[in-house]
Amino acid sequence: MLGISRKVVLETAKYYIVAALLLIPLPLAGDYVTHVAILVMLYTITAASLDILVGYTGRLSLGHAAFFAVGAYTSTLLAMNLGVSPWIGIFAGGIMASIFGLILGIPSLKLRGPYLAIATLGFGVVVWLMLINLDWLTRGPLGIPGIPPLPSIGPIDFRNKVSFYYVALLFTVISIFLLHLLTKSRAGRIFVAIREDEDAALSIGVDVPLFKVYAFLVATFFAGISGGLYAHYLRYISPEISTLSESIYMLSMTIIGGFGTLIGPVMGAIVLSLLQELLRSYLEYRYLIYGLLIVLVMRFFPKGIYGIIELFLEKAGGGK
Amino acid sequence: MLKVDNVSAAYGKALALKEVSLRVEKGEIVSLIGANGAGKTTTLRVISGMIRPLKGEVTFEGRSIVGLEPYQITSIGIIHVPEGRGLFPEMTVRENLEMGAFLRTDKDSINEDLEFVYSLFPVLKEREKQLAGTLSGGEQQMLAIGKGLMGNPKLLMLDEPSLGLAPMLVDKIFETIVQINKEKGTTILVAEQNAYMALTSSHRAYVIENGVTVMEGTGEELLGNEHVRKAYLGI
Repeated sequence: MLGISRKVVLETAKYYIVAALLLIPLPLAGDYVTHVAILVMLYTITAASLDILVGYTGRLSLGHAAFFAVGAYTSTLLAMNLGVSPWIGIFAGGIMASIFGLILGIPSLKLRGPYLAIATLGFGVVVWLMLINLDWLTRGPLGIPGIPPLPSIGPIDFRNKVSFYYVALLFTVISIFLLHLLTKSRAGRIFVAIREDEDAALSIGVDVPLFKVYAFLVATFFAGISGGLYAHYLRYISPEISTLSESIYMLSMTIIGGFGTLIGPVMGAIVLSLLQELLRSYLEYRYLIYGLLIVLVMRFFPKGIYGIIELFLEKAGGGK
Repeated sequence: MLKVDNVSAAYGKALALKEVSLRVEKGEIVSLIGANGAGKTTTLRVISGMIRPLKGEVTFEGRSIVGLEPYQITSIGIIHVPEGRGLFPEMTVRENLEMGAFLRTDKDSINEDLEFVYSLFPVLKEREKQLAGTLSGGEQQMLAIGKGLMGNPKLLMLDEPSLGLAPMLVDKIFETIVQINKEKGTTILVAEQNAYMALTSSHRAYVIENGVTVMEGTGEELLGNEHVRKAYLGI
C-alpha cells in the first residue's frame, strides 16, 4: 500500500533526526521561548496535515480548526469524565477527528473548488455551534478549565514546560515525518494526480473517491492529535479554538508557507506564529496583516516561503 | 470485444445520445466520425463509465459494464484518452507515463512498454524530465497516447487526437495509431472530427449525427459514400 522504498525512508529520516537534535537545546533560551516553541510546533502539525488535503489533494478546507477542536475536546472529556489517560486520549482524539473527517469527507466527495470550501466552512461552524450549545457536555462558551496534564512518567512532570516541550517535539517530528513519507508514497502521488486532474486520475484507474476520503482521514487525524496535545498543555479549552478565524489562520500558514510542499506549511506555521508574537500589541489587526500577506504571496510568490527559498537556492547554485 | 447497443444518455435534461449502437472487434481500429456536438465524446464517456446511460447496454468481452465505476472500467482494460488530453501538467513526462501504468505491477513489461512509447515518440524521451504542462500541443497529444498505452489497454479509446494540431502532426499521430495497432495488436476506438484522416486509417467506421449512429462501413466504403463525401469530406 505504501509503495515506498527503505532507502527513501532512511534518507528522509536523516533530516528529521538532525532537526530534532538541533531543537533539543532550545529550552535553554528560557520559559517564554519554550512556551512559544510548543505552540508553534502544534501549529506545524496542523498546517502540515492541512497541506495533505489542500496542497497535495487539491481539496480546499476552511474547517480544519474544527478537527483540531474535536481532538482537544475528545481527549479532555475522556480524561475528565472517564478518567482515561491523556496518553491514550490524544490518540482517541485523533481517531474521533478522523470520524468527523469521514462525516464531512464522504458527503462532500463530489464537491469541487468553492463548493467544497463552503461545505467545509459550514461544517466548521456546525462543530463550533455544537461546542457552544451542548453545554451539559462541553460547558458551552465558558470552556473547560482544569484539564489534567499529561500523566508524569517516573520523575518527569509534564506540567513543567521543558518536559512538555520534548513531548511536543517528539510528536511533531514523528507526525511530520510520517506525513512526509506519505507524500513520497504511492498514495502521495495519487493525491497529486487527483489535484492535477480528477478525470485523468480516473482514467488511469485510480479509485478517486477512496483516496479523497483517505486524504481527509489522514489530515483530520493529525489535526486531532495536535488538538489533544494543545488541551493537555494549556489545560484550558473553549469553543474559540474551533472558529472560522482559526481555520483561516491554519490555511494562511499553509498558503503563505507554500502549499503542496509539506515543509512550506511548517515554515508558514513558524513565521506566522512568530509574527503573532511580535505583533501582540496590534492583535486586532492580525487578520488584516494575514490577508495582506496572502494576497502578496499569491501575487508574487505563488509557491510561498518555500518557493522563495527554492529560488534563492537555485540562484546560489546557478552562480557556481 | 466491445458492443454498444441502443444507448441513450443525457446531461441533465439535454439528451446527448438518442440511439447509439456500435461494435469493435479485437484487433480493429474503429473510428467514430461526426460533427461537433454529434455525441462522439459522450459515447466514449458512456463506455468509460463517466456517464451512466439512460438506457441501452454496453458489453465488453461478453460482460455488461454499465454501472461500473470509471476506475473499474480502466482495470478491465479499457483506457480512455480524453479530449483535452487528461495529463498531469505539474508532473514530468516520465512521471505521467509512470502514472499511466498505475494499476500494473509487472515491472519488466512496464519497462518494455516505456521503451515502446519512447520508440514511437522519441521526443518524449528527450523531454523526459520536462513538466507535461510545458509541452507543445502535439507533444502533449503524444504523451497522452503514450500514457494510455502504459496502462497496457485491451481497448484504447482516443477522443479527438487531432484536435488543435498542425496538419503534419495530425498525419504523424494517425500513422502512429496504425503502428500501435499493427505492432502491439491493440484494439483502438477513435472519435474524430477529421473524417478523412479517420477513415483512411481505420478498418471500420461509424457516422454519428445528432446522437444517432446513422451509418456504418469500412473506411473505404464510407470514403466512397455520397452523403459522407458531401457532409464530412467537403467534396
